[in-house]
Amino acid sequence: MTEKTISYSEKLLIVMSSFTKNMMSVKTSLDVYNALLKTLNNLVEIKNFAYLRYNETLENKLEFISLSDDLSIDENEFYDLALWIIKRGLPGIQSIGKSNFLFIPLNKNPKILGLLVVELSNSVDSIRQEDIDIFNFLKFQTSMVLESVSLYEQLQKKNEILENLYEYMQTILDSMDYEIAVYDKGLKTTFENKKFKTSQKLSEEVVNTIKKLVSKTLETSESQILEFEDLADGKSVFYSITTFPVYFNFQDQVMVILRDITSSHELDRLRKIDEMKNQFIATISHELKTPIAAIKAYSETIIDSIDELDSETLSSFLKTILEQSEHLEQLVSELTDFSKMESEMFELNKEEFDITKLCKDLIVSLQEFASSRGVELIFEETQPVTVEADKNRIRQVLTNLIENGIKYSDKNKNKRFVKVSLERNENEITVIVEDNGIGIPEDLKEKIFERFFRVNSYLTNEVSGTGLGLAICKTIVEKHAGRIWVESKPNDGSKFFFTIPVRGD
Amino acid sequence: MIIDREEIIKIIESLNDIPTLNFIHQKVISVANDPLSSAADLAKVISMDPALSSKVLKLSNSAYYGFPRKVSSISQAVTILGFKTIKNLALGVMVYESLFKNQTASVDMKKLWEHSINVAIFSELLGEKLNYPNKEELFICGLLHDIGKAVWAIINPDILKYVLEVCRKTSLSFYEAEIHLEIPSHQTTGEIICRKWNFPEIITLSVSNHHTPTNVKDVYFDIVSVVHVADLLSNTVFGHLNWYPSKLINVETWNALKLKPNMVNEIVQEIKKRFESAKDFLNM
Repeated sequence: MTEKTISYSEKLLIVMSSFTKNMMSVKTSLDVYNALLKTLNNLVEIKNFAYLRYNETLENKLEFISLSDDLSIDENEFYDLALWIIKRGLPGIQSIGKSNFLFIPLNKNPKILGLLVVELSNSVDSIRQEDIDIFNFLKFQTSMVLESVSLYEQLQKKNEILENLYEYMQTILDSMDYEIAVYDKGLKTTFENKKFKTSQKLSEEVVNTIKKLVSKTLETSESQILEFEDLADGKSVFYSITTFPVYFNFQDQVMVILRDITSSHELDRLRKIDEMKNQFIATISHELKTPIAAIKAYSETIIDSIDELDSETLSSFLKTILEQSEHLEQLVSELTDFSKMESEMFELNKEEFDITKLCKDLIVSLQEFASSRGVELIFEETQPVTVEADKNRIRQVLTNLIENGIKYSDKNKNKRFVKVSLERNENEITVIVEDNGIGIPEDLKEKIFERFFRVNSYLTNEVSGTGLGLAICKTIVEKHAGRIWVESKPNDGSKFFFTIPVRGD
Repeated sequence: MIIDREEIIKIIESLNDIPTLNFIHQKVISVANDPLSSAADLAKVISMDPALSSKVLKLSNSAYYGFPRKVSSISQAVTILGFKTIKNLALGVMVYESLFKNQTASVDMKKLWEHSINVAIFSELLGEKLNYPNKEELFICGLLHDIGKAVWAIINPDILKYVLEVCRKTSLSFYEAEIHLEIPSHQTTGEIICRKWNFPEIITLSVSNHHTPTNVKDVYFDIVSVVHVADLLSNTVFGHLNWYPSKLINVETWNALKLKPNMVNEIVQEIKKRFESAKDFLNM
């Protein structure tokens, strides 16, 4: 309590400087109450104290934030009084039980913030008009500070929530097995998830492709999707890039999701092979059954009616049996070859021979088959060319190509032909088998060299075969370090090329 | 209809007849004016006049303050309602007893008192909404702002009757009529009695300038502005009560108080409720 000798202005000065000093370093609501209490210590003798916060949702509307240990107030007498003080907004002193309590409401219209309660140990009578003026002054000043601190606290809480949310989102984005990044207009990343940050292996081509797609997204404001194959590093990696236009910080930006889909591509490929194998088994059983059935039927007929058959009919029957046996043999040998290739037991027996002679011989031996289909076989004579290769295998390739040409001849054409020619280059020889048959659609040009694939399963069922022929050819040619490909136009005909080096290793 | 000079001189001389306060009431004012006086001092001096203390106690327990307990003594009233509230209640009771209680046949003092209470409540409510720190002073300033009219009723009811007659026949407000008739206005007569009774400066300025708030400078401008705005708004809300109020709010005060239309709406919503709770002030 102040001494009688201190003047009002002096007292005001003491209180104000104490208040300023105490409020200087407040950070929390609790600090504000503490500072007010410290300041009040200059004016009254404080026995106990309590800090209360106004909370509309509570039954009593008030909650204690802090209170001194020895404070005891009868709650029944307390809350209605405290609320009345707060609503009135003016400091007041009221006795509860034997003690006098000073109530300092903290409110700034229209906001009610809280209440400071002080149990006084000095007599109420000595409180002067000027003291009450100062209480009122402190009430206003403290309320202002408290409001600011409360707002600051709320802001901090919100910040914390935002930060948590940010971390949460970051964790989610980081946990994804995709590279995720956001690009700005300058094609610089403004966000990268963990996978993107740690991913060092992106080739220049990938980065450039991403940037191109980002630019396109910025231009069109539309999401883009692209799958592409990256061949840098010598192995094939498939990527799927998805972009989304996003708007952030008053700027158009683009979110990029980069996914390595190589494994799913591989899976896709294996699934297709599996499908082809199933189809192959169905085809091959059918293919094997046909000659067996024919051989069986003819053989039975011969046994049953050998006495009745004239030699011409018998000869024709036996020829059919032979033909079907040969067909069966071919099928079985293709299967054997294929299984050898699959298990990599396939080896070349190289020898030196004249490839032009091989071609000539083949044309002669296939002449009969060609004639039966009304196809003319042509060979363009050249100088003899000696190659070092597996003669039987090369014959197999040539036979297959020529037979295909005959098999897939176009019945709608009057003149049908298969033409074999050779082109000698520096180190290799190109063998060309050309026909004017039904041709191969553009999208199947690669597929025909795949195992189990048959154009006829797409085009016609008239032609029989295992569907392994061209796959075997490809394996043989590649084993010779050569290449095989086709140029073709549907309805015009096809032109098969394969190369083999002139000097083998 | 012009009052001649002789009459005016007589009027001015009659201002000397303004009643003086009795000894106890003078003592109440001197305690009230002294910042060093304690709660006990104020309680003691009010208690010296049993009529005054019983009226102050009655008002302390009125619904207007809504204290959830019974206020049983003046000293309790002083501590819980505040030194200022009680000193101002005492002043209000004293002014009512001296100037408003004696009804004259010629003018309706009851209506004038009702208007005074309206403006008091209005001023206090405005102060709350504007976060004005001294809302208790606003109450007394509002309550006493038209004290000058009551002075006329005491010293020369005929003049009052005459001014009202002029108002009735012209479109002039009461204050404009006073100026038009070149007689001392109720602002002037009010100021004279405030000075004579040694009222605090804050009250005196509100009385002497509630129609001319821009004449008041510095710290008191806000208070007088609140009273000015409360005076005019309360006339709008409660009607003019036959006293021909001014109709135009001083723009400068309006702007200085930073009043917003939605704030006025809120105040109008609340003022009638508060006035209902202040019936005790009407029948003192």
